[in-house]
Parts: sequence; C-alpha cells; structure tokens
Amino acid sequence: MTACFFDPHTIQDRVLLYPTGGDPMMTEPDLVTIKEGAAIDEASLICHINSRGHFALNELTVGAGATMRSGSRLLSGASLEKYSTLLEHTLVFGGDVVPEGSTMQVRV
Amino acid sequence: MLNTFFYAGIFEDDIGFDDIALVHKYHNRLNAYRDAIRWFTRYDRIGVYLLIRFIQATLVPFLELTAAILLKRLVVGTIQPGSRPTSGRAAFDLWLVKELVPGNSLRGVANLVGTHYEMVSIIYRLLGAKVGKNVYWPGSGIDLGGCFDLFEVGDDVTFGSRSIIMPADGFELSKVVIGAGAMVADRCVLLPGTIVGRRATVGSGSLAARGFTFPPGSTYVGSRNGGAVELQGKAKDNQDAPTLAPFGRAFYCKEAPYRVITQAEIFIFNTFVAGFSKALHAFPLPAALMLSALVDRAPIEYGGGGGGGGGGWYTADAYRFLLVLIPSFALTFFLNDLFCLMVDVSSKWILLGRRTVGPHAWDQTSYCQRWQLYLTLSLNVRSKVGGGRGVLDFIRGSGYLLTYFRSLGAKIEVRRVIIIF
Repeated sequence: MTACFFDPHTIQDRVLLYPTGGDPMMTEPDLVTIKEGAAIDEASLICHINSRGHFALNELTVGAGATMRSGSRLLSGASLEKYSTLLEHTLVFGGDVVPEGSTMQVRV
Repeated sequence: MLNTFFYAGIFEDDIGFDDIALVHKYHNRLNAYRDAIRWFTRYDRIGVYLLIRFIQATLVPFLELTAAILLKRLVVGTIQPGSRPTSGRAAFDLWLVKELVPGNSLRGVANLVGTHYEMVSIIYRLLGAKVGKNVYWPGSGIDLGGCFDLFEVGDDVTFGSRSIIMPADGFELSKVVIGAGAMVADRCVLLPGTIVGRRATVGSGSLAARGFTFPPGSTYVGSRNGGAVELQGKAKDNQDAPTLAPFGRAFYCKEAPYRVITQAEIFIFNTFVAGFSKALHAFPLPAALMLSALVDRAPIEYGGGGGGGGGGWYTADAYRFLLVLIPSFALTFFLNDLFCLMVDVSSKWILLGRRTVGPHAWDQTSYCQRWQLYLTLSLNVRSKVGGGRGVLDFIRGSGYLLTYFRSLGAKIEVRRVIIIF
C-alpha cells in the first residue's frame, strides 16, 4: 500500500479569492485563516483595529464553505463559521461569530 | 487604398502617380517609428529614460502642488459657506480648486511626504483648512471636493482610510468640523455641516447626515435609516480627558521604547521608493525593445528589405520586428511583475516577520512604524503596473493569488487528496 500526497498547487484548493478585486484585499494575511471551499468576493479582511490610536491585531477566520459577498467585512477578531454567508455590505463587529449555516445582511 | 498601404513595400513600382505622395508619407511615418525604436535600443540611453521616470515621480508632484497652492491663494482666495453656487465667480472658484487639487492624493505629494504625517497637515493649512497638531491622516487621503476652506480638524484626531468627507453637496457648502481627540474610522461618510465632538468616535462605516452633530465622547457606527447608530452600551468617554493619542505621543513627542523614524527620513525613503517604482514599472518597455534588437538586429540597423537598399522601412520590416517584439513584451512585463511581487513578499518578511496577535500601539512597539514602511514599499511597487492596474489585478480569482497570500503567511486550507493503491 502506498499513500500519495498530491501537490496542493496542482489540484486547486477550492478557495476563491477576490475574483473582481478588493480594496484592500487583506492587510495582514498572516493572521487570516481561510478554510476549504470558502469564496470571498470584493470584501476586505482587515485584522487591525485602530480605535482612537490604540492599535491592535487579532486573527480572522473564514470557515469552510463560507461566502463573503461584495463589500462585506469582518472586523478585527470576527469569524465566519462553516457554510455561513455574508450578503452585500454586511459588517460583522470584532469578536462576533457568524453561526454555522446562517446568512446575514446586517447594515448597522 | 488599404491594399496600397499594406503592400507598399512590394508593389511600389506598380502603383499610380497619385499614390506616390501617400506612400512617401506612409514611409516617413514608418521610418519615424523605426528611428524611435533605434533610439530606445541604445544601451547608453536607458539610464536617461529611467531617470526621466524617477524625476517624473518625485519632482513633478511638488511643482504641480506648489503651482496649485499659489493659484488657489492668488486667484480663488477663500471659498465661503452658503448655498451651492450654480453660476458666476463662486461656481468657477469651486470648480477651479477641485481641478487644481483633485482626488485624494494632493497631486501625488501625499505619497512622497508620507500620507499620515505633519506635512499633510501643512499642505491642508496652505490650501485653506484649519488643522490642529498631531493629526493622524488616513493612508488613502481625503477627497474634499475642493472645499479645503470648509474643513476644520482639531488636535490629535485619528482618521481611518477610505472615508468620504463632503463639505459640499448639490444644495449647500457647509463646514465639516472634527473636534480634538476624535476618531473618524474607515469608510465613513460625513455630509455637509457634520460636527464631530471632542473625543467622539465615529466608528466604521458611519453615515453622518447633513448637519449631524456627534456629541462629545459619543460612539457611533454604521448607518441605519439615514444616519449612524449610537452604541448605547458603550460608556461615555470622559470628554475632558487629554486627547493625545499613542501615535502623537510616539511620533511627535518621541516618547517610545524604540527609535522613532523622523519625518525627513520618511520623506527620503518614500521619495526613493516612489521614484524607483516608477522607473521599475517603465523598464519593461525599453527592455523589450532591446531584447528584440538582440534577437533580430537587422530590421533596426539596416531597415529597407526588398533589395531597394534605400535604408528605409517597408511594411514587411515592421512586421518582422513586431514578430519578435510582442513575445519580448510578454516576457519583460511578466518578469517585471514577478520581481515586483518578490520585492513585496521579501520586504514583508524582512520588515515585519510573522505578525502576532495583541496590542501594537505606536508608543508601545515599533510594529506600526515598520508596517507603514512596508506599506509604502509594497503599494508603490505592486500598484500601477502595466498601465495603471496593480499586479494583483492580473491574478485575482486565480490560484496564483492564493499562492501570493500564502507566501505572505495566510493559512488557506489545502485539500489533500490521498489515493491508496
């Protein structure tokens, strides 16, 4: 019996990033985790918060199969659970978790 | 007639007298084109060409902005609040300032002096705004639609990026005032007459309706029913507390546990990076021409095929040259873009290493300073490549973009396929 690991780059990872661009795309890629099957359209992944000059970094997680549509944003420290969807222009506050399978459009 | 153009090189002897003048004109143009190519393929000229680009990126913005400030002060004077002028001198003045200093880049000078720092305050003051000290300006700049005279910013204000501040709309021109120690976060919209109180926080995506006042110390966010939403649970900040922010403390008061970079150093660094990037982005053009000349020198040196011996170019010569030139372009532009991304990724790891979660205030760690240096480098090097678009725009949506973000440290899950025989 032989186990064979294919090179991840030859079989595409079923993650879709910014098919129509992003402004900005990610400012801190090394704090971002994107799970398999996630799709991110023109949305921003920003891991920093600069609340009146008090700058801090937090991690961001986009769960498996999650979707971020145009203009949606996760603030520093937020996360999307499996198969959740953020519709256009939805803003998720820092530390908030979008539950598994849910679809949100919250224009606060 | 089209055929005459196409086959001028071959059938010149067979065409009528009337067409001869046209053919000569065509040949002159073709030869001018050949001469331009010949100019670019001389190695000693590449330095001049790149130097021109460097100067274009570093000196020209200052000349333009100086002229714009002088014109604004001498011709326009001060723009007055009131209903929006639709004709006459007042309308002209408003239009003129908007044309003189359009968009949010201060004619490209903001990028050279550092978008966040005191030089930006000085320029805004020269353009008519009232600006306090220690202001942290946004990286993206602010587009005031020419209404610099109707913009007032207090001490120690912090701006987030991509906000829209409009002292003028279709109806009126009205001052936008931002109080000391306030924060205007990213993607906010402040309409005419907005007043942000002392130490108020205008959070991410806030919409301030026309004439809205944010009370001192309040916290708002987003937009609902035409206005921002106040965060009720948030305790009111002590509005009388001192306003000095960590940035001001570190950058202007030099109270930080690391060596704070001076504004002169930022200016030198940014200018060099901007000039270098401009020259780098201009490089593939002469490089492709020189490469083509290296592969097939004959059309450039001698021109004139077809046994005429006159030294001029015929259509066939141009096509022969293009046949080599187009693949050369593809190669040099590709290598250039690849080099830009390599500069981006390697400078990230050299300047920042792997980021860590937690507070990184300006007066605590040197992270923000190093991040700003990296941002300057990365944005200049990988934006405006290939006619204005950024390198990443060429690979968006593709697996190469995943590779790029992975190389910057992103954890993007990989689907491993295991086949067991």
